[in-house]
Amino acid sequence: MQHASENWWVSGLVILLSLIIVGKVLLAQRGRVPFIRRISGLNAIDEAVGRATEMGRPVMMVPGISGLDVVTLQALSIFSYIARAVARFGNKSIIPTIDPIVTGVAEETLQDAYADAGRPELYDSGDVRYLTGQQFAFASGVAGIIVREKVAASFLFGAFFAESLIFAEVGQQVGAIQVAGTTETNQIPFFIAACDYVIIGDEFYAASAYLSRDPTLLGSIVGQDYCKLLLLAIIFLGLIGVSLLNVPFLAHSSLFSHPLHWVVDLLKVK
Amino acid sequence: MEYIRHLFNPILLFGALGTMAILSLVFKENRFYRVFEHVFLGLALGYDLEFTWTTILRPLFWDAMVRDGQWAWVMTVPVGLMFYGIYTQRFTWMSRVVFGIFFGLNAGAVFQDFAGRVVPQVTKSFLPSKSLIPPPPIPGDPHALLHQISFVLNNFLFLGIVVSVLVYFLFAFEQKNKAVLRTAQIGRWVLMFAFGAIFGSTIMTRMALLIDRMYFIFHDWLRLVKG
Repeated sequence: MQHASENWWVSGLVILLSLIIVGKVLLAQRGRVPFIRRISGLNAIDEAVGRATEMGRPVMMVPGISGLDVVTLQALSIFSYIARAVARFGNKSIIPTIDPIVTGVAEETLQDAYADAGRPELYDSGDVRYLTGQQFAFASGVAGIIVREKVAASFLFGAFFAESLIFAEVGQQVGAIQVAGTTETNQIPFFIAACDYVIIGDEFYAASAYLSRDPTLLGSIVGQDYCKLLLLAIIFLGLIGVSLLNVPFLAHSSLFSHPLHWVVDLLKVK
Repeated sequence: MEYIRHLFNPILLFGALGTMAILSLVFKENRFYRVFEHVFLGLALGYDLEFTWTTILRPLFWDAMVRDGQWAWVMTVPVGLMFYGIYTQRFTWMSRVVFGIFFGLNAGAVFQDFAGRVVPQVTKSFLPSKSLIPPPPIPGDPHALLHQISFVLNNFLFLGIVVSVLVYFLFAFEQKNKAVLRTAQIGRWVLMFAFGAIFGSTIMTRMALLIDRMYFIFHDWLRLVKG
């Protein structure tokens, strides 16, 4: 792994990007709430929950198969929004988990969401189910829950791996409306093939900000956009640098080649 | 007789029945599947417990205390017990302390992950091989012009893909401007091409896994195929 300490430029860049994000968060908290565009897949959440309630069947949410990391926390944050919608409709949520620590956090998330929606009595501790720590045993357990409970809406958010298609296919088999999102690039195609709505890549991180409209999260997302633009500018700068070095006149002129080499060397990670 | 004995070999029979039971879900949920689903879950949970004991608790905790006399490890017990505070109203705050520490550790690791994962991708975007102006042709190369054209086209394509995909993932403004909208649409198309390629290659891997299971049933267990 590349450590920030190996190259001062990398450390400087990480600090600069962090400052941009923190700056936008602070501005948002002081009232300059930024705008973020519509993420179409997320608009389907209320529709899916409403449909599940009409059918009298539960809603299932799977927070991926990793431990308590940023991706899982993001998934639980989205589930908190979904659980509030489920509680408002008076329906039942099921969250199967693969990690004991995630189970604890998921229980608290669900309990808080039901309380926020004014329906704390609907919370049942059996709704968050720790199944096992093994990937495919977990997959068979989740598949069993989907078909036995006949879930009408299935939300798959988090880090998924080879089991992603099993969840999505079984959900499809029982006719559940499915919304999925993951940061695992290799699993997105399977969700696209088998789910009704998929949010891809960075949309996953923007999701909770979009749903909650929390100024802190919105500021963070917009700060990240500025960071992307900065990285794009660095890519352009580097590309122009290495391209100009292929121009014979510039490459052999000390006036141009020294600064160009300096820029290119500076941006390179050792 | 030997064949019958082979068919009823408990390990082979259990493996074959398990495979058929789990695959039977493709057709319909049934009792056969349900039995093996729970057997599978039970086995996995038992394996987890054994794995945790043999790789973590015994060598790093129990042996360290009992064999090596490092009794300071006993201090980890109350910290571990704090997790269970979540099950009582009175001690929930205890679990929140531990969860807070976990969140903090993970948040800190993100910075290192960014420096290790994203920054190399940025710098690899402008290696000399990504130059938009081709290097001087190799003397004596009969296809020098063709190589130079393909070099430039390839790198412009690369740049176009990087820009369009990055623009697709910008959220701070509505993509109404025609140029931005078109760029983002190209980004989405390019992503779909990439996902298609990933889908195809992963399906091949899944087929290999299915073939392995079929090989087990028809070759190892039923002995219907040779080789």
